[in-house]
Amino acid sequence: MLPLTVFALTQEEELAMAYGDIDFVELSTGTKQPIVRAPSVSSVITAHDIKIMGATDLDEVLETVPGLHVSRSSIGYNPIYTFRGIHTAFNPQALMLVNGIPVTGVTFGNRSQVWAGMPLENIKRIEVIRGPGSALYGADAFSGVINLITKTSTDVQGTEIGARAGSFESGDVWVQHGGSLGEFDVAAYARLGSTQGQESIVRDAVGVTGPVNLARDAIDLRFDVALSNWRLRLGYQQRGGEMGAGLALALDPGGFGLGERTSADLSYDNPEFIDDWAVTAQASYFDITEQTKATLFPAATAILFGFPAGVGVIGNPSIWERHLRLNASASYSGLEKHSLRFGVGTQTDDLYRVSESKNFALITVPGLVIPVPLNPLGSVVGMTATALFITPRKRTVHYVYVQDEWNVARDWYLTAGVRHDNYSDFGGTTNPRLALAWDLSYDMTAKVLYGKAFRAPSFSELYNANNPVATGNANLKPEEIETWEAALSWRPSNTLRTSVNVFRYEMKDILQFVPNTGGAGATAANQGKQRGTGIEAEMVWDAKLNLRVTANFAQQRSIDVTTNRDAGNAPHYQLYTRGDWLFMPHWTLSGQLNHVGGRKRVLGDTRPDIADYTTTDATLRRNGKTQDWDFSVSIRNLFDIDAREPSPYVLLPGATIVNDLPLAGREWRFEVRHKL
Amino acid sequence: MNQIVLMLKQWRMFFEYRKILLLLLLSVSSWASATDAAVIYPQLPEPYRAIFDTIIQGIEEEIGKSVVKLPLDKDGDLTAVSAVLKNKRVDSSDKVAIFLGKQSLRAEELMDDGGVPFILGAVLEVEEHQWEQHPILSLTPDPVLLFLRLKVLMPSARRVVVVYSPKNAWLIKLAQAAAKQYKLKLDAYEAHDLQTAVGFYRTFFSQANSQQDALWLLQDAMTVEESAILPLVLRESWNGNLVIFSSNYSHVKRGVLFSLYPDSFAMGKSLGRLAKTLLRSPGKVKNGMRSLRDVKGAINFRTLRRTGLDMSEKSLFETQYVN
Repeated sequence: MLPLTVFALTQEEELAMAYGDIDFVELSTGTKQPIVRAPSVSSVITAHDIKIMGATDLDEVLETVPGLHVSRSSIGYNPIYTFRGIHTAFNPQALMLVNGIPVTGVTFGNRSQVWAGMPLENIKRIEVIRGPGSALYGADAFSGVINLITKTSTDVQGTEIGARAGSFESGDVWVQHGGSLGEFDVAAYARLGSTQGQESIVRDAVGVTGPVNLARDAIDLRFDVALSNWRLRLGYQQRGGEMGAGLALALDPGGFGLGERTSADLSYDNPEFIDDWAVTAQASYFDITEQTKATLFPAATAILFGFPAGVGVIGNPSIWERHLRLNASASYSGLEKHSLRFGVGTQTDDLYRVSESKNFALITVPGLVIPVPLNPLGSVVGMTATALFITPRKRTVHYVYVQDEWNVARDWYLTAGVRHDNYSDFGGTTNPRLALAWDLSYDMTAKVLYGKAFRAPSFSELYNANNPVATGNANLKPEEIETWEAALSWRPSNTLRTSVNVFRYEMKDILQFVPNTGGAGATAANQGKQRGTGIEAEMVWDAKLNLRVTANFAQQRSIDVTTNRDAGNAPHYQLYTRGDWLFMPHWTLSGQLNHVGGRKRVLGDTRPDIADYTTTDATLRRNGKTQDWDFSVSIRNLFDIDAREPSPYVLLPGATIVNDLPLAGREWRFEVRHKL
Repeated sequence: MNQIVLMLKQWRMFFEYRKILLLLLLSVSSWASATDAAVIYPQLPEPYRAIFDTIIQGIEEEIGKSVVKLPLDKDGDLTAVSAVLKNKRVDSSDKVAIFLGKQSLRAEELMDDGGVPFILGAVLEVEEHQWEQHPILSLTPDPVLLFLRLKVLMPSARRVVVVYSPKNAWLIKLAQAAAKQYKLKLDAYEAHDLQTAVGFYRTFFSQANSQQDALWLLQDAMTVEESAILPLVLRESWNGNLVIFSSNYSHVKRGVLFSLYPDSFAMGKSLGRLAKTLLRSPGKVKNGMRSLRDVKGAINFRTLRRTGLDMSEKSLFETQYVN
């Protein structure tokens, strides 16, 4: 028998018994932790995690999610969210939502070509679903879904001002406020940002050596007002950004894009509408503008195509889109062992204006498409409707979905959902989701999942004109994917959480621009299959009361079924680990390592495989009390590693940025925040 | 136009309201400055340091900024604090002291001259001989609040079983009264060693009725020992579909249905109020152990779903959802 004194508690043990293991979640806020809604393999990153890891842009957070690697497009270094081996140039397979509403443009099916970053100060939570989500979210919830939840008045509470400065002449200032005005709960956020961007040197497709062009300016405004069941949100983002490594893989120091995204949404949410019924309804409006002024090839190259001396190949395409969405959903909990959800909705995607001015026409010569001057002076002229690269178009979509979570037997839950979308241009598509979850024991859950998802053909793929390099095809059908997953989560002790999942997917009817037979140029078609398998594992370990270790690992193999070759560009494996150490009152030191490896080239690309890299970042932060100052200093890519993302493969040998797209070297950031 | 006028009015109301609030604050703080209080608290590393910071903020909110903060020496040496207390003249008649944390149980060593009234807070284990000596606010959640939440989540509950060690006898006494309030039968078994405790649990699991019975786990390193007893209890209650709730927040993550944990700021305010009452009308503050009513709730959603309890009531209390 042990004497009772053995069980006497220390001061720390007493507190741990009252407050739990005091994880880094700020207990004092007492906020609800999110319940994973859809049956899926998912990750949640909170505002607290974001602050600790020192991330200032969304992409830096997403790179820490297992099975998701953020690659870069040559155009403006736009992010390519590569989920589980699915890497494409425009990346329409990853759906991004802000407060559940897509920020997808219809012209290219992605998040616009003038993206230029997403700040994080106003983000409360990021939810990432790996795998399909079309049964709930519809189009483009294909390889993964990223949902950003913005802060409301209760998340801000008071006024916060902040400023940041760092390498590459980067600067940001912001202010946000949360409070009440009469009966209204009000939150507002405003931010101004500017950077010269990193200036790594590349040798481009036409042999010019120079820095990539990544200067950016940004304005962000958000407003959120709520009264009982109603909430109105307004948002405006303006982006001015340089062209990265150029529209045509030729450096373009004078080129830039102007992007604007304007949003408004009104929602009604009543969890107790009538007995056993919860109801939500939402109307939302989203407007995207992209105006580009670009030099596709410099004068030195243009002269070879017959342009007058000193004149480059110039193209200025611009598009304006608006999207109107109406949707309603109802949940019914009156049936024993069932939890039902129904939804209907409609949306209009309207490319309502297109303008283009340029000084070239593209013509086909055997084996090649080349630009020739439109006039002897090489001057820029506006295009008439018939000569535009795409003409204004509109599409309407109607959809209906139903989902049931059924408690089949003790500890067994079957979720079955299906959604039907009807598109005015290409017809209907039906996408089911099935998930069977089994609570194995008090600390372990297993689930198997199946889902089908689709991506709608973009207007560019359907209707591109006057561009032999990428001609549209009005007879396209959606790209499809089927995914099978098995997942296990286990919490062996108070201080350790683990999870692992395996997956297999099969893509078919892949939408791509296929080289024309017997001539130059390419036309959109549903062609090819891709198959992939992989495993992802995660761990969060509270090693000591003031030390948390997070780690994850992902491995995947994706094969182009037609050629039986690696699908290319995506990492075969990723390893991420981070340590957060509260080393003295209010001070946190956080360090992270990110390894990206095993990136093969696509079929036909004879360059050596893309080199693996490991980056190291560190952040030191002081979190003050309320009405206090917070400071942080971050150093990213501490060892100044040469990390690169794959440049596109071009049929003509050497006509690309052969040595790929370099990422930023060592970078410093200093930040200060003050809560008024 | 009307709307614009209305908005302007609201703005003005907002500013008026702020003015009143400011006046109130000023008057409160000027009154409060009459009360001088010393808070004696342990110096701990993060994340515990932040807990005491927040408690002290709550005390300041109640008493005002005149609070004298005296961190205890790391090895618990009281001489330094004692000197400061004397220097600051805290030991005069219009002063009050608040001792926080386990070290505070040695407060008598400092206060032996009996000049300054004091209270103890943020403690869990208190020796029996001290229970009635001072006003003590424990970190343990009030059984009334635990039982209320149990009845909300499980209206069919009739019996609560708890295994406790002698040092929690005071709490069981409070719990008996709380159980009556909610028409619950509290079967409390006192265990003096691990083996006896395990025996009580085994008996409970062999006889338990999942429709009516619930098991209550205490903040007790012996009767809820982490490496042997806790896994046994979790496994058996999972297999028998029995409801367990706990006074220990970390158990929720392990699979216990719900728990309550301290709201540090509110606890600080309660301590501040208690201190003020002690100063103004000492007769109103009785010596003895008090359980904590300033709490927040945590619930395990996965367990809730499994027990098939009424989930629609979950919004009744401010809650952290786990899993």
